[in-house]
Amino acid sequence: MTGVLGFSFQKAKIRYSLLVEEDGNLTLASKGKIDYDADLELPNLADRWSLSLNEILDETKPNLLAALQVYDSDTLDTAKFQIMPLTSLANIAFNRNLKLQLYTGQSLRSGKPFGLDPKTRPINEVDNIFGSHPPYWDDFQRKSVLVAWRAYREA
Amino acid sequence: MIFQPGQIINNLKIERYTGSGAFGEVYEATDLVMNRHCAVKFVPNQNPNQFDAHKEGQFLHLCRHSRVVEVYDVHPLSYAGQAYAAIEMEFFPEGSAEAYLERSYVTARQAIRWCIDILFSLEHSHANGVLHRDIKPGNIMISNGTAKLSDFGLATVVPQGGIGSGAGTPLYAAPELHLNNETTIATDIYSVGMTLFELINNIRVWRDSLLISTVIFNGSLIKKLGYHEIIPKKIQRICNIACNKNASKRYASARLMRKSLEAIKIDLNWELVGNDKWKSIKGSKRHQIEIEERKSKFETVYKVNERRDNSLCFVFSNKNDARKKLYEIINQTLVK
Ligand SMILES: Nc1ncnc2c1ncn2[C@@H]1O[C@H](COP(=O)(O)OP(=O)(O)OP(=O)(O)O)[C@@H](O)[C@H]1O
Repeated sequence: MTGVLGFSFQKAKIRYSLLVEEDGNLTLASKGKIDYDADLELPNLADRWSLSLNEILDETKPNLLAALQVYDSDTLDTAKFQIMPLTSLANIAFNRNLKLQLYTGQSLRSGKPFGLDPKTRPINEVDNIFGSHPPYWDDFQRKSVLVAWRAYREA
Repeated sequence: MIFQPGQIINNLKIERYTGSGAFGEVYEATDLVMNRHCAVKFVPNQNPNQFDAHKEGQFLHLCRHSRVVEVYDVHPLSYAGQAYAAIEMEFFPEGSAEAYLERSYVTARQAIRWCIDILFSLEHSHANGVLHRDIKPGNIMISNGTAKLSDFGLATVVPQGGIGSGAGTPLYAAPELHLNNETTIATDIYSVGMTLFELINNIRVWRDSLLISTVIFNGSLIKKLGYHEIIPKKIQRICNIACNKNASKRYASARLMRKSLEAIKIDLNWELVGNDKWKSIKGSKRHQIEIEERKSKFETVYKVNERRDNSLCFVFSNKNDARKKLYEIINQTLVK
């Protein structure tokens, strides 16, 4: 059984989705969001990220990690909340000896790496393939599915 | 005090006395072999080689977590004819949440953050089948803005069915615990709820009358005392669920309670800084609200970076009304 845990980061929230493959079937086994206090000072923030991420990994026990990588930050908030948490995740991946696959927003636009028609926007297919899972089932959440999906296909 | 500063017992050099609890005395010390600053709790026991003497240390080992006070070592030793288990652990210069509360005002953000930390450690220890059984501000150690749970001395491995035998401090003990002496995940949750209640309301001293009154035995203490007027409903709700009389109506797990607390977004983290004087710093803005008295009028004055915000200033003919307004403004701006 393979479990791929995908992450996408936003201010005050970390979205995650666990895709699990069993007998060739890939399904969304669970999804969630981590709420944290965005006003914490950076050292405490980093500590909170790692505390929360460790807890999610303990619970979901994935064998592969994937995350959305943001590389252009025009605001301090982007840098702080979309880029920095990735360092905590990377550190945990290292400590647990797990592979971490990173994808930029750009690289999730074409359907091709997902085995779809290249013109198909993969994000629009998430609900068709994995179902709709409210609450907080928005594009932030779908992106955490997308990265896990792509990492699974490349594994 | 059993030991004096400067005294060396085995490889432990006593620096100073910290305090004592039901299980023994705590000292700030140095482990001379490891050259390590530490706190040592001397728990008297019959036979230093007995399993029980090391229970706390062993439980703590089982519960190892970044939000649990780290136990470095447990030394069986004997002094003046008495056997002790000397539990060597991390030293916390800031002391416990209880000590903090005695010194300073605990803001809502701090109270919530500390409880989130404690719930992380509980989630972990519950997953390992260990109940804490004595959660209270005195057993929560503070450092660097984070909180760690200490004193697993009363902890017991959860037997099948998840029920352990009774323990704990009456005030923080759930009503069913007073009744049947059974500790469960739900009784730990109740204790976190009472801890949160004490912290957010900044209750420094519990009225003695309460400690023996029936309200703590039938779980109606919170109802009887009520919340400080500044505490918004969103926070009250979480406390009320955690401290529901009916164990089955409480949060079913530490995780669920933590998730609820994490969903609270503090907007202005008000701090009491003087008589009817509160402040909150958010980014580059310093918010202040206080009551000014002149010519037998009382005005609640709201300032941002020392400039009055007239839309939030109100004049009253008596202080109580002014204070009520002040609390109302804080209540409405504390959370998003
Ligand atoms: N690791 C530590 N670092 C610093 N101070 C500590 C440490 N552990 C305990 N203390 C302090 O030492 C004193 C005694 O602590 P202890 O845990 O024995 O008792 P308690 O928590 O006050 O009561 P109880 O025995 O009912 O749990 C308290 O003031 C506590 O805050």
